[in-house]
Amino acid sequence: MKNKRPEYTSLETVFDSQSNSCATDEATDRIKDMIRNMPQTEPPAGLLRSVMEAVEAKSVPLWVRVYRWARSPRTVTFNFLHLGPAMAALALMVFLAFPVNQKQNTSVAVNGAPGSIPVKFALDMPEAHSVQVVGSFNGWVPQPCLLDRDNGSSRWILTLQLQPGRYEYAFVVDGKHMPHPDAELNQDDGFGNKNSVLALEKEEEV
Amino acid sequence: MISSISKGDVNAYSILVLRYQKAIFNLMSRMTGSYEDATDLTQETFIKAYEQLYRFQKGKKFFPWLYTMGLNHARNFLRHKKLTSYVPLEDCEIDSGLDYPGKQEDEICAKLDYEQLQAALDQLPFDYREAIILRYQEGLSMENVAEALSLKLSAAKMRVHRGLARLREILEKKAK
Amino acid sequence: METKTRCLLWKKKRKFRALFLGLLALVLAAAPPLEVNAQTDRAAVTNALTKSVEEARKAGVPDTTVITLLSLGYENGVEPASMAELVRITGEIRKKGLPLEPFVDKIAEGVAKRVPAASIENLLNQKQQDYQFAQSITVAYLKKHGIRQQPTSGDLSAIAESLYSGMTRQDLTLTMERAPAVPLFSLKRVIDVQASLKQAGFDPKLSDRIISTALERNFFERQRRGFVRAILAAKRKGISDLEITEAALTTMRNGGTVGSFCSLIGVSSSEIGN
Repeated sequence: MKNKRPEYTSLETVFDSQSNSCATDEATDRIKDMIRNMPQTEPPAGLLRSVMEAVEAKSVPLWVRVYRWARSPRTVTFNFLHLGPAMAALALMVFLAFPVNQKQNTSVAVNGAPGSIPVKFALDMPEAHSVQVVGSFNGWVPQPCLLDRDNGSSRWILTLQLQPGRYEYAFVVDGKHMPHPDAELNQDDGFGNKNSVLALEKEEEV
Repeated sequence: MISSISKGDVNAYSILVLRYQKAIFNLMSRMTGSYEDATDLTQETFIKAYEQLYRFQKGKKFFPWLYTMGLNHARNFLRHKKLTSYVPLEDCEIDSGLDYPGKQEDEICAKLDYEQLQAALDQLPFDYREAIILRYQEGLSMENVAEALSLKLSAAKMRVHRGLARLREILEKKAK
Repeated sequence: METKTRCLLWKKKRKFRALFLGLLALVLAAAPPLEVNAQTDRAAVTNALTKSVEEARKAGVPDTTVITLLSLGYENGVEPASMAELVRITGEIRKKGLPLEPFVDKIAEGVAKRVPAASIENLLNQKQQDYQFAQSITVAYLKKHGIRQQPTSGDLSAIAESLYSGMTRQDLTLTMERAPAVPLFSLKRVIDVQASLKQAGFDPKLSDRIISTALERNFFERQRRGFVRAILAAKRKGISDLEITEAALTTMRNGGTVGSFCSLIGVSSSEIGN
């Protein structure tokens, strides 16, 4: 089989034998093409294994992930759901442990980017032991609500900063998933549950 | 419980390592000129990227972010070792613009090969070389080149433009 | 070839570590063990995952999306083979020109809710069909009215997702067929209102009248926050669908506001949370 030279291994191949000329742009184009096709040095064969061994050894401990989650709620890489009420309790304790979560208005900044809108999630369920909000805005990672006993009523409240858009969300009340009782619109989640729909166009209360 | 994370899931990150290890390794080779240093720095970059994956911003491309991390890591390494294996931009001048007489272009066309091209690239100031490599070898858009090099778009375009001009100048001199 | 591994220095805040380790011990005692996923042939799995990732990237799925999915799988103990299939499907979705975000969100939801991967895959396949349907009727609507506008991902999502709120394909088709030339943002608000009324069990014929008039008057060109909530509050108070409909039509025809509508049906602003 003939060893076919790749098209631009040498600029000779573009040399016009008749006119013996090569335009400026063409030479630059050839250089670009050669850079594109230039062989790179192969990394050592054991590099991948070394990286993966080190990654496994230094895999992020649970407490670091919990710390990061509490500090940066946008980090939707940790899932509490399958660990049940014990983890929900831990989440609540973690949530309470940090100054950022102790603001009087109970706002938890998820996305403080320009254009984000504060949305208050409020649920009337004073008998519940724990209430969290899950939704497509936070990768379905539960975020705890705080029980507000002001003004003679008891409501579980969580305020999030969200970008305008359409979201599905639900409350997790004592570990059970439920849509918002007063939502204008609910929809099937496709997994046998219902979610509530939040079509966010400007500041509003849910 | 911590140790019960499924071993199979580690494959997920290995995909990213497989995809980008050559590019990062070659960056480190260019920076340090040492195979062993390049290997270590590449490994460290991927470990660091794994640890910081939670910081990776939505909407951004992964490779420019990884590249920036690798670049900073290599720079720190070189600073620590007080090596200057790359020529900073400020120390170089561009002698000419893009106008080459036809005869000299012919000579470039006739004599260039990969080895010469590599040698010419090695002579380029670091900032020009990386801009050209990212643009043409890695195939990044100009926006992503700018991001990887922590530059404004106009500055990145200028680096590529001037880098190519400088490269041609070096090749022209070699051809003579 | 052995490479020399250097130790990386970790600079971390350590002050909360004692507290967390204590709490963690409590959780470890209380929480059930995580499932250990079945081990398959590692090389074959790696190949499948590599192939899916490459296909998805070639189709134009952004790196961030691939990473998000792989991270989700990693964090939630999803079998790599299943993750490979989910990543592959995102490539398919991208090739069809459909918005990725609703699908990625649904994968995230399914993974978070520990739904079997096969169920997630089935849902994604159904969702693709629904989105393609929504895309085709939307494009037909825009073409019919000579509206030179590409539906945004948000527009398409709102229309397609209404199919999971009780709207049928027939409902959507009819609404879009009879709608005059109104902007898509206005149309999707009308569709949401229609879905809400249907969910609330509102009389279908009366609902139809509200929707028709809303479209004729382009009533939802403005957001009209609280309008649906007012209807729901009125129903809870026992006001008939007919009375509500008459009040709604009067409001729309007179260019009224949500406030004036509330007055007509005897609902206070506190009852609708305004």
